[in-house]
Amino acid sequence: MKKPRKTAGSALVETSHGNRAKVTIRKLSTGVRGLDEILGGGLPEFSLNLVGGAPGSGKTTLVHQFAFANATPERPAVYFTILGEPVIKMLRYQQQFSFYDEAKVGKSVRFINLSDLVLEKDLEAVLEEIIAQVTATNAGVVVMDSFRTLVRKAAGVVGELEVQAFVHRLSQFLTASEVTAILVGEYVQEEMPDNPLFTMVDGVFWLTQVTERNSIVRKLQVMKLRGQASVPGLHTISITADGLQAFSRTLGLDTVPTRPSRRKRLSIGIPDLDAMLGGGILEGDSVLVAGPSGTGKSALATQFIAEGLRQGEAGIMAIFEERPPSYTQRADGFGLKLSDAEKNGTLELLYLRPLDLSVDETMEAILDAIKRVGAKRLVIDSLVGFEMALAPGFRADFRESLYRMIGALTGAGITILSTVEVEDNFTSLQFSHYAISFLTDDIVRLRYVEIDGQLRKTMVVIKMRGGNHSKDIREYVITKKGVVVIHPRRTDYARLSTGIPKRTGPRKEQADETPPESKATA
Amino acid sequence: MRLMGNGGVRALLSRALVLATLETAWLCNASVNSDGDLEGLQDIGAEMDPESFLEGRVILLAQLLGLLVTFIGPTLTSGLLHEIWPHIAPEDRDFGMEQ
Repeated sequence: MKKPRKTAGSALVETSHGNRAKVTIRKLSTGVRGLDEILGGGLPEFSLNLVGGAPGSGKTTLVHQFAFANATPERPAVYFTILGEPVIKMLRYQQQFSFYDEAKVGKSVRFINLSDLVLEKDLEAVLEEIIAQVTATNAGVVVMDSFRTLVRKAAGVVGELEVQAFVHRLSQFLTASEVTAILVGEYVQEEMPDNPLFTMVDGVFWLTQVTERNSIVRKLQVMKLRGQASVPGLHTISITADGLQAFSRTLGLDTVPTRPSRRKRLSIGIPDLDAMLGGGILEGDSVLVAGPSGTGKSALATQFIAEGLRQGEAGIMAIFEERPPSYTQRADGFGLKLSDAEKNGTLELLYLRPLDLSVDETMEAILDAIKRVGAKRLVIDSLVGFEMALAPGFRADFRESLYRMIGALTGAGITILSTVEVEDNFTSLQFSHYAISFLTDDIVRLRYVEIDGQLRKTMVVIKMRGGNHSKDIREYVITKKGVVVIHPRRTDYARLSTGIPKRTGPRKEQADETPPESKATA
Repeated sequence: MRLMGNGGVRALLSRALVLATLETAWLCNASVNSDGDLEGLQDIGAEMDPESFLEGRVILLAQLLGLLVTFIGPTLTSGLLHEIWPHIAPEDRDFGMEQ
């Protein structure tokens, strides 16, 4: 019996338990950030794949990234161009991307134009030329762009069976030559059931581009991938100066760790509020601070982060409404030196408001920042701003993605404080018009209350999963120290939660307040 | 040729010929055939002063390389040139690139 051999620099055969040999399929990196994870580790070695999609969806860029990522002088990538984009233009545009390594062009990445051959000769001659070039160069990667044009031209001359036989022989040759290949074509999904090509290839990847209102939404779907588990569904892709980038719809967070049974309590930086929360927020909780404009949600969030920094816990503030300078100025006014923490790398203020981001890109930016600084606390200020910052076409995915991100981050022990603006209607106490309460473990509601001819502010802990909390409605002010809870709960008013309470106790004499209320100076 | 195909070479060389003719009028008697090859140069050369003939061909080549640099940049053009004429020293095909 022949012994298994090692080929193409990788161990292809493994013996487990001494009696069962199983082939190990090596996975090649696609060179596209986020895509390997979606594919379940990368593109299977020696597979024949098809990248389909409409013009402008990023097909050519994707295969260039794959070619450049895997080409070596010993096993070059051969890029066959067939009646598609003229090579001179392709080279002109693709070299603008950062992955494009000019030093590789010619030796490791070779471009071969098959257009004339396709126009003048038959499929047999085309196959012969491909075999000759791949054999002569010892190619490890082959790209055919556009394969559809080749097949379409041939189908006009010969029958469907001949085309199928050509694909079969091509596939056989490429696999036997230890080549990983990608065919590129402007196919549409509707062609899939009737086109035998889709049965013959090992992997099918669709790129789509849809205009929704005033934004472009690009998506990638793994329609088929033999031999390995890919992440199902539609994944957002974007094209930047670095080429294509893919964002797994699970954000790479599909496994949610179990939270430890005993979790420590974290101070929010406001002693009275900590007491109302039963000693502080449980580590790994998601807290929602809901209230109308001007009630100090951002101030409270800043105090939460600043307290973490005091305790040695790095933090991230993802802000969508205010700009970072006004944030740090307010914090400085409260005596919380956020700028110092920014300088020493324990705090990052992410200002995410470009209005055309996908939810996945935004989440990725937050997750990257968390990894960078090793954050234990995260502020999202505010969820409404977050949703508004997204391109319209992505807003439908917002809650689903937020749910995944919050679940995974809190599971990993990161404590999240999100703010949300709600409108006070003076007849009832809304927790949030924004149906995201299910995402949160704890809810702190801030609201305006009319008392003694003044519009004052009160807070109450509405919900605290996993712990008891105070039921008190407490008045607070925003001073030079930030949010400060004043007075014990009031027993001389009823229906405080409506915002228009009814006096039930005796009226105390009180002097007019001048100035009305001190606030932090910017 | 292998990179761009006959059509690509024909288009680029035709443009270079047009530009070179502006500097060297006698090049108007040359043409590019459907395979992307130059035609008529040998006939013209036989009747010309060798120095002027050489100068015209150098201008044509310079225009062709200039077009390549415009489209795909100096590094790739230099790489292509090296594939065709490996004996040309790197400093002689730097196309104004900063070293």
